[in-house]
Amino acid sequence: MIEFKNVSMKYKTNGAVALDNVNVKIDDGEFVFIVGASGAGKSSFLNVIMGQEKVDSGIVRVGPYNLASIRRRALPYLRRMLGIVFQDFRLIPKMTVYDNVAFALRVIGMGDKKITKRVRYVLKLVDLSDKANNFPHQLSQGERQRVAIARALVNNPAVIIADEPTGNLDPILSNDIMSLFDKINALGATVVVVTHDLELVHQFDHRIVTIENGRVVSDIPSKYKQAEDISLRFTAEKTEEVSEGSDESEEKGEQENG
Amino acid sequence: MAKKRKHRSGGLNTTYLTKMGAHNIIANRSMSFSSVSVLTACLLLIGVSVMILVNIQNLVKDVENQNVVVAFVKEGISDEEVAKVGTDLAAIPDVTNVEFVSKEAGYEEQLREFGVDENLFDDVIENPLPHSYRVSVSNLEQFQTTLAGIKAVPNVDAVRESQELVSQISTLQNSITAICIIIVAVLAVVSMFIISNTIRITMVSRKIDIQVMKSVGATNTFICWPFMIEGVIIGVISGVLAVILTFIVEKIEGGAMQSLLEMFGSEAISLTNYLPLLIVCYLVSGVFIGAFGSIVSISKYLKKEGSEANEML
Repeated sequence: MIEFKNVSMKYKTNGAVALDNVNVKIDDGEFVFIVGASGAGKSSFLNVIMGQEKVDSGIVRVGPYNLASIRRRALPYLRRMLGIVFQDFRLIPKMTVYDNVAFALRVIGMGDKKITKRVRYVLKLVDLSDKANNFPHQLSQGERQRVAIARALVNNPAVIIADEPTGNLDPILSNDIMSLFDKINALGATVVVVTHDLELVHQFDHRIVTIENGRVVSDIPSKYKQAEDISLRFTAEKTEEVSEGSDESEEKGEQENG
Repeated sequence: MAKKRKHRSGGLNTTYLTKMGAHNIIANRSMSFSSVSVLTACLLLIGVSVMILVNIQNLVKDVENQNVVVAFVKEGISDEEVAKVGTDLAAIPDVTNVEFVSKEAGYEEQLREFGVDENLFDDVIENPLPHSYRVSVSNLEQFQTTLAGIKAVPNVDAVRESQELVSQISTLQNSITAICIIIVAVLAVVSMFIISNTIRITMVSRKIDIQVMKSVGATNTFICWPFMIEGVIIGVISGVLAVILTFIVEKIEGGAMQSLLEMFGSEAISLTNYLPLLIVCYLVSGVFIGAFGSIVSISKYLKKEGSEANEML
């Protein structure tokens, strides 16, 4: 789904290194945390995926798009396959919750009936059906972030990208939001969450990619994946042993027969 | 792997976007109010300048029409030769009218001008005036050339003209035209500058809206449309207000202009004479400045992505 191959990039503003030979592959349906300190390059990683920044070298693939050669006209269509959640929610203050969520569908020219059906479904999913007619300023921080998630989800995107989604929330709300992402991932979407909150990250069992000074310094699979890998390796070894054992016995049998 | 979606501009819900543009005017009412105020003021000032220019041009035309050169014909030539002088004078470029004045008619007129009884000198002196032609000249800038042409006509003995007045009127016309053109040009530039700044401020205040639109995959046409509609509506409102205010200005200051023009023997052109043209000009200018200003400002921003776009706002 998302692939970075030898990607390097410098900030246009001051020429500092943002990404340094990054190699990461995220498969369909994966949940990945991108962690690191402020200025480590996490947001640059996301900006590249969203087509907001161009890389200096390397290959970036998001779905069918090669971002190294993507044309400006194609960017809106790339973004329609991504659901983006920001730390500061970025809700339009003069629109109701319903309109904020429906907006993502109006952009792609969907009809009103389908919009109503789809918006109702996602508002129910994020548990905000009763707040559809409220304006953002009438909501709590956690509710606002859930509206932002609903807006990211409504278009049924292949990938959900969240940039510090819990940065403005207290620990309990942060946990709720992360659980919501878990639920979304379970429904089949690929989820990439950038955060510096390691405590929160360790409460969930997902792959963790750590970026420092623009470089990927560690890439730890989820415990489930590790266990799965161990189990697969164990099964493979067992199969090998069994096949080796059967080969030996076959050889023995042949010798005895001979 | 997801299939690449076809790039389609179809599905653009223009009704929704138009409603959104109209709604934005009310939602951002303080910005809309300032845009309308600035645009109305600029249109009004441009309109008043044009109004002054139209009237001054009319005044100059009136004075030009009154400007007559008298060409005296040599004495003792035949009637055919006198008529030939008239034909030659009429053939000179920028001569609009040639009127024959016989020596008798000229004498009577002269005496009338002096306020003397026409029969008083009948027996005392002989009529000293020759036949003459009153020649009306249109283009004051070419007056010297035209005058030389009149003097060069065979059998023209002498020429009487008010060169100083001609030169003054010509200078006045040029100065007023230049001043009005400068005022209109400066105001147009100033209004463009203020409008583009107002739109830029509007964009800063709507930065989040634009970022959200981009993040959910809005095309540039989708983002531009409501801003363009806003610009058009602001332009139309400003144009209508400018027409109303121009009427009010004419009611208040029209009398003063009329008295001023009467001093020069001219009269003000009524606003109703060029009202349709004025309305069209105001609306077209308003819509053009409003809509085009919006599109130009927002296009600059839409060409940038990420940090470069944020730096612009």
